[in-house]
Amino acid sequence: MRDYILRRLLLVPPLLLGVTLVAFVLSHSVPADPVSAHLGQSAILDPAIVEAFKREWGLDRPLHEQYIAYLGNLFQGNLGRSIVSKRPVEEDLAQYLPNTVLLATAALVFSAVLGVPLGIISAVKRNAPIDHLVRALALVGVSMPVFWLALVSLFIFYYRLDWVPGPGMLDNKFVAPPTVTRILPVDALIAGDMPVFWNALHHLVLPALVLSSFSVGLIARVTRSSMLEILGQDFMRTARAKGLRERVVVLRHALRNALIPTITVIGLAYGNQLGGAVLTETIFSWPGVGRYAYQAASSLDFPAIMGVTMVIAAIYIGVNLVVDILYGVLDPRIRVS
Amino acid sequence: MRGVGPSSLSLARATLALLMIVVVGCGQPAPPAATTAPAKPAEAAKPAEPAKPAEAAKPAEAAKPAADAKPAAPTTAPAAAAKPSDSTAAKPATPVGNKTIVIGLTHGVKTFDPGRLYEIYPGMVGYAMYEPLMQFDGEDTTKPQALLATEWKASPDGKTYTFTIRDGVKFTSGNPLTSADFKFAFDRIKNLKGQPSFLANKIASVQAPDPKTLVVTLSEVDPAFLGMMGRVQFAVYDSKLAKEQGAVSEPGADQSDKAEAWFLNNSAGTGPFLMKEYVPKDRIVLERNPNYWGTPAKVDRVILLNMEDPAAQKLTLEKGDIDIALDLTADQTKALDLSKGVKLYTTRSLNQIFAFFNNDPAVGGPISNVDVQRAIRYAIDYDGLVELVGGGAIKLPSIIQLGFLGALGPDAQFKTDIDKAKELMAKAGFANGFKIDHETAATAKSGGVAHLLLAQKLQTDLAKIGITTNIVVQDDATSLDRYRTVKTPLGARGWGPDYPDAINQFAFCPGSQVGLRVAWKAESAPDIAAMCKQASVELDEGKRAAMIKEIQLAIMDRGPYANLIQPGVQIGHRTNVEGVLYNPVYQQHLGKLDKK
Repeated sequence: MRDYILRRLLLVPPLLLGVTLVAFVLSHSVPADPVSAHLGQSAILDPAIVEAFKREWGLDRPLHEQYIAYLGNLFQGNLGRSIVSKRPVEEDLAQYLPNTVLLATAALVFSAVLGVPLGIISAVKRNAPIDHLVRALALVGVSMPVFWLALVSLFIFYYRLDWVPGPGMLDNKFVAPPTVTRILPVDALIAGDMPVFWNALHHLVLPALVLSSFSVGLIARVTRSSMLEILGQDFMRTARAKGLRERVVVLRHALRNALIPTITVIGLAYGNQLGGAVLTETIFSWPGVGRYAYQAASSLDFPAIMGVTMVIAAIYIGVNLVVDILYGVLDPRIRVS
Repeated sequence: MRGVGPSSLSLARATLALLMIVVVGCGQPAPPAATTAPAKPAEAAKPAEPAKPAEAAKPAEAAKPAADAKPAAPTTAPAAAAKPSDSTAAKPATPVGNKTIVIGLTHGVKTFDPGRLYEIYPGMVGYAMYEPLMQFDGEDTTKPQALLATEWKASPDGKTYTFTIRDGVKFTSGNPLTSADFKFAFDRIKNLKGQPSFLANKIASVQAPDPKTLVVTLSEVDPAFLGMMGRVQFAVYDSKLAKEQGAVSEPGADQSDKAEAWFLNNSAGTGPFLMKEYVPKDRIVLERNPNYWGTPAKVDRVILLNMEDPAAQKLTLEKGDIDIALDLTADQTKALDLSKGVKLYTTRSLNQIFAFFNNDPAVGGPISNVDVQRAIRYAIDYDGLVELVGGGAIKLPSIIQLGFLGALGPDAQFKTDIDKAKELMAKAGFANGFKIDHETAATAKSGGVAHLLLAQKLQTDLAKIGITTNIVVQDDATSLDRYRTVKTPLGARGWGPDYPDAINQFAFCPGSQVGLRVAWKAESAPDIAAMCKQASVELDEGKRAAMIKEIQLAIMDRGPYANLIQPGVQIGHRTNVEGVLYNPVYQQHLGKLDKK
């Protein structure tokens, strides 16, 4: 197993290098000019301003030279400077990524904690009213547009019922704790500031639930179909014939075997939540990497596009590795030697 | 199915909270330390509790808004008109309390460096920290008045301006303001070659013969110059401190200046506020400058929260979590619940929405025909457009928006006349109409209205005279690039002036920037081009206004545009907030906001 993990880890650098090449080529093949996207209507008519802009961002050099220069900086740990924020990309990512990781991880927990039990119940009670209800809920979760769900839930739970705080990560009356991990509730705990800790958690609940809506539905559906397949197999009949309790049959014998496709879906869902939280972040004023990525793409902010792509790719690679390892844990037959 | 009672809900909520703790416990390891800390914690920020107004001096009210007033003639030598305050000498510091105003807006920050600043809301924030020589009062954009200059005079040829710098003004650093600081700032804006550098193109030289005198010499007469001196780009900052942080004003500053990053988290101005905290895409916290030379800001702190979704701004405003919402759309203001302690401030903007027709037959095809362009102007349903845009929008007949010298005003707009439009189409040889692409950006908006929606409205209107538009949706950057490289046959866009003078609108003249984007060259309409050139250097207001009117009428007849709408501005605010007032130059004057 250790060798397998090592081999996979050794593949990461060439993979990321490939990602940089693909991202660079794709982002530069858009039929639009970054000069046009960044300079105003009058500034763009001034050749001196245009020339200075191109020189500042290296756009006056041929594409291959730009790419080589980017790689050179990358090997020194320098992701470049964002054209929009004017800050080092690594600084931007270090600020936004922890916020998105917090949100996506909370959403992942909701997805797993809600989705898997719902899928199990639905499979065990196949064709019972509870099964129909879960399937309907799963369908709604998968098909409901996240921006609509976000707005409606904000209206109901914040505006009408006052159960949760409004958009943002912290109430205005609180002062953010000193930055240590850059994950707000953790920093609050480190600082021993419990009011900030609780307030930060309250702010997290609704956006995380909204973000998890799609994956809850998906996980419930996948778990249900996977469970149904397993429950119909011979070894289940054997388990029951041995006199095992139904609970043990379902949770220990069926679920463990049924979880492999579920784990795959959870892994993919986590990657999606990290990279695709744009709408949730926008509506809940959550300063995360999704919004940063969207802005980078729409304004042809090449250094930021490259930085975000690499980080999201690295996260996907990491999540896939974890999923592969979990396969082995769940099913010794596919454990890698 | 079992019912869900209140106890179950409480249990569910408690469970959710518990889950969150687990989430935190499972949180990812800390990312590697950043090269620099992006934002410092708001060590001084406290809960926003209403406190007593910290007013040390009674504001010396300047002249009331004068939207229709004529601009000050630069050739005259006005005395110190409308001094904001006389109390500039050795004032005691006013302690900073807890009175806070929270504003919801889309930050859009690229920089806070006055030499590079060009974005709208960052300009508003910049204006709260940095002050220029001149200012505009209330909603007015036509009468520049004294701010850090106490008086000024123009040379008889209108090319040299001599300003006297206000006495007793200090930067937040404690350093005294001198004319050398202005010279540094003006030279720097020019040599940085950044976004706003073109504003300084007509400045030939800047001299500071003594600490209280600033002499600016122009390369050509510019009636807009004094108004330009009210822009935040020409605001002053502590040159000594800026130099310590790497600021350079000499030629070559575009490559050697290193101060931009410092300006992002610090301020070095003379304004009523100073930068306390900036957390990108989250919040900007401004704190009252306790040693401000003029009337102190009425609140101690302004928190500007980045809320990119206008619907979220509306909800939080009605709920009372923010005091002012700057980005409400017309649909939202219609639905604003005024019973929840909310008021709506409405005025007109200085922006416009216009449709354009490419004059190059190879790109525009039939739409390059002047009679077709005339026909389109008669075919458009302007009343419908006003309704569509909503929120205080008015009709705009030509290139000059109401609020600028010589504007024709909404009553001069074309009256929709389909028969006349069809007649013109027949005259052009297109009685049976034609098909054309209308290119539009996928997510761009002007005046709160999506360009796509404008395209659909024009599609409906033009269909009445046989023109079938095929709406081509492009990503925003591609759409903008095609427009700027003269490849768009038909489109509709927004326009905002770069500086508060009608001259700015001459961009629509033949051979000027917008004109060239629709292939309307100076030689296509040499008479109009000549009129524009002449009006650009005319210092007599009466003559200039007459010229501007003539230009507008000529463009209404022969221009490749249909100027459509001047959108409104609607700002939602809590009823206990006072001083909400829109000025296109600086959006909101944060120093004049108050909370009762």
